[in-house]
Amino acid sequence: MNLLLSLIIASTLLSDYSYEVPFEKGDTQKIYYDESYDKKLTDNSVNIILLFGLRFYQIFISPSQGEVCNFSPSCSNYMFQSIRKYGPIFGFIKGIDRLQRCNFSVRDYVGTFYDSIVLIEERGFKVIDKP
Amino acid sequence: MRKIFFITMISLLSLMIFTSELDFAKFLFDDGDYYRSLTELKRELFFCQDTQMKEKIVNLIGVNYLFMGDLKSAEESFSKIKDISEGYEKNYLLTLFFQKKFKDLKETKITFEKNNDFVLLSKLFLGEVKEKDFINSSEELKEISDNFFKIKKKNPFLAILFSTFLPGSGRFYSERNGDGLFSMMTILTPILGSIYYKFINENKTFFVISTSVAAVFYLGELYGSFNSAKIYYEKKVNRYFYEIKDNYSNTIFLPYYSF
Repeated sequence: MNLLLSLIIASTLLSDYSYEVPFEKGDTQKIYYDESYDKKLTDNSVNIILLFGLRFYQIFISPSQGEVCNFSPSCSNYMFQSIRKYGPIFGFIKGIDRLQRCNFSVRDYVGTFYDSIVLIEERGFKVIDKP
Repeated sequence: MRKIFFITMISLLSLMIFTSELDFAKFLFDDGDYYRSLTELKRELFFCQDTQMKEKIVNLIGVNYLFMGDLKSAEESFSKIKDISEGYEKNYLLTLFFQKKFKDLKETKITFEKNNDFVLLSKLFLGEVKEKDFINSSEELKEISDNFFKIKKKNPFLAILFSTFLPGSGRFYSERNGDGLFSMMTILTPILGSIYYKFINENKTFFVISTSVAAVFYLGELYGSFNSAKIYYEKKVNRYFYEIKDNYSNTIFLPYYSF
């Protein structure tokens, strides 16, 4: 436990706070104000725990890694949106599947399994894969 | 006098370059400036009084929209003249095909027999046709159909079966080798860690953590193998559609037009 705590503290100290928003700009507005998502899902306590954990990762741990994700939205945002859309269990499983798909061979599948690759400001070339 | 003579000669020569009504539009079209050729053709259409010429100009407007990528406007312009000739009907059916409106294409009444090839193609992409139906068709259609029937569906439940015994093999089954390899690594490493913390370096907490991580990734792998097999056929057909659009752009999918 001491090791874990020290790792988290070290990552917060080493993380870069130059980003205004550590995740994609405008994404929070789409998540919180998108009418297609059922608002009842946020009353679920399991949902709240998972989303809180994801946000903790995005704010404190993710900036130290930099831009490592091949996709847009990023894997953490994908899991966030899928949990809001499909519920805690199925959304979490979809997020895990996305983590396994985020690897070195992503760009080989553009044109067949993924539709497009786009240049995003301050993030680089990303493959589009929405939940 | 000499000045007046030279000025008249130069003006006459400049008029001789574009004597026909559509020469300037053709010049712009050949140059790839479809937007300006469109404006030129619309101007000609406004002043034109000959009905045959009007039909020709409407067809050319549609072709310009086609090459610009504005398929809806192309469909609108071709729909006005589709019943007049075979070429105009071909152009209308082409725009429907490029927009993937296969059901609409199948249901349109075709007045010229040669354009039945497009109906066959639409039925091919809807999955309502077999190899026998292409025996009497042209060589290009036979090629397209042969390559289309080589794409086969994958069974998602088979993929799950493969993944239960060997994680990652379900994704290999649906031709996603990189994903399969990576998911195999994400599952096998925590399993090896749990074996290590159980039998070699007995540590309950790390054993529990590693087994739970392996279980979570295993669930994700099962869903991923199911989903990848489920979407395999649809994605391959979509890719094939764009391939034939490029490969046959100068033969079957070349629109009919003449200036």
